Amino acid sequence: MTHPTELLPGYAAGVLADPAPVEAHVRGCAECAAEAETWEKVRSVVAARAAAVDAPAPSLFAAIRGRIAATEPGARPRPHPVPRYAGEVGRRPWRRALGLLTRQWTLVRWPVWVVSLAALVAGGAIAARVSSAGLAPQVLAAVIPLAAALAVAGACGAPREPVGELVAATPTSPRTVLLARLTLVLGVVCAAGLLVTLVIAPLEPVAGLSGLAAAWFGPLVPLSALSFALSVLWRPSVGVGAAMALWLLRILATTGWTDRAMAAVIEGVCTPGAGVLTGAAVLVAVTVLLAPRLPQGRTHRALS
Amino acid sequence: MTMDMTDLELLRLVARGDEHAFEQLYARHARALLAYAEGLLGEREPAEEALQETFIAVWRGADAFEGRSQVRTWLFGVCRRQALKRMRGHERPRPIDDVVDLPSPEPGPQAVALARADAAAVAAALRTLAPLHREVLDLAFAAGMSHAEIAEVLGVPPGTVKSRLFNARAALARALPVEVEEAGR
Repeated sequence: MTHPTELLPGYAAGVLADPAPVEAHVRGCAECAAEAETWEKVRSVVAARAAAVDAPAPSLFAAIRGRIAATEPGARPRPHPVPRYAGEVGRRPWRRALGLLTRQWTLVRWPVWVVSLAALVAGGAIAARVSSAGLAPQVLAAVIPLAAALAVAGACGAPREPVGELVAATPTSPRTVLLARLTLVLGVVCAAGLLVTLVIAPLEPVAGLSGLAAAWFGPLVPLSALSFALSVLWRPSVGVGAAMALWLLRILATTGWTDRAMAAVIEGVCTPGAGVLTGAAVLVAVTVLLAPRLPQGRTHRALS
Repeated sequence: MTMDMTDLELLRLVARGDEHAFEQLYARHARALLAYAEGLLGEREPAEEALQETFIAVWRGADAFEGRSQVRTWLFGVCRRQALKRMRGHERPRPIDDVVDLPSPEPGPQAVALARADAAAVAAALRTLAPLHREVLDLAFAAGMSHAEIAEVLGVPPGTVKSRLFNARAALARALPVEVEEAGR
């Protein structure tokens, strides 16, 4: 055995997993024995210093308790207090659904709404300006799906998920809560998108109302589904990243900067049709089914 | 009931708001953490503050513990951050000290001087050490942590822990009263 010099501090501290070989060496090696003796001296002095420190006074723990109680009245502190989720949700199905959705509204944080609606308004304004050139469908197709994907990531994959509070307040499963939130966010973005489309439609007689709506609804479906799945199952930044990548590819495909086969695939994914809708629905369903079972998931942690 | 639980089980209960588990966790670790903080800060009062802040942070952040480290190393890590906040800038452990003091794994006259010095002289020398060196000695010999655990608390590679330990010992030997050191030569 070469000199186990580096192991000697651990040997003196008694933390080696297998001290036997070191012990054998030290017994036969005067140099290492002297080293070990030095470390032992250091150990005893350091340990004596720590042992001489008075134990914390009982008043210290009382002070900790007092400070916790003073800053967070009630049982356990929550990083973000959940606003008004108590109370009856209602018994009849439609009333229950409405109750769930309105409560989601209070839980989704305001930046999500502000950012996505601001994007929609800005997109609408640009679309109106370029409508004379016939470019309004392209602008809406670029802006509205992106706003939807960002809002979905922000609302469904929020880092401080207060689902535990929700479930405590209602007999609602976390899956329903997640689905309700997705419905609410997409509902609001689609409604706002339709509103923008209605305003722009008279300026764009060629595409018409249905043409304009189809232009943005097509890419909105895969982008939102992708963003939702990755934000919930992984993290919001990944959801946003993947949605942005798909979005960018779509833009490149429409400008003709990607090769034809790729452009055909992307167009296929971004054109509303039974296949795309089914695929998105399956992705959302799988995500909702898996969400409460994630080992490291926020939802899971909040519930356990 | 909480007496037989592991630290991790206690922390999971703390995450659910169990005050009894919180008290148990405090009873297990408060003394060692306070000794560590006092070693770093050199004074009782700021060390007690650091301990308070540590356990308030534990209560608030228990559900953020991801189990990547042991609960004990996590507690020491939290305590270390709280203690460093209370240090004046020039006292803070600077990683650059590692580079200045190259490790000397060969047994030398310093080791001999330390071995011959009496405990009181070594204890006096310990008080003069830089926080960087004092804390690595505290973690290794008072808290009894393995090098891997110390590496986690300090956020440095295990190799750095080794060289820092040897540097700390060398600094300790240098800080001994001159006559003792000369006697060892």
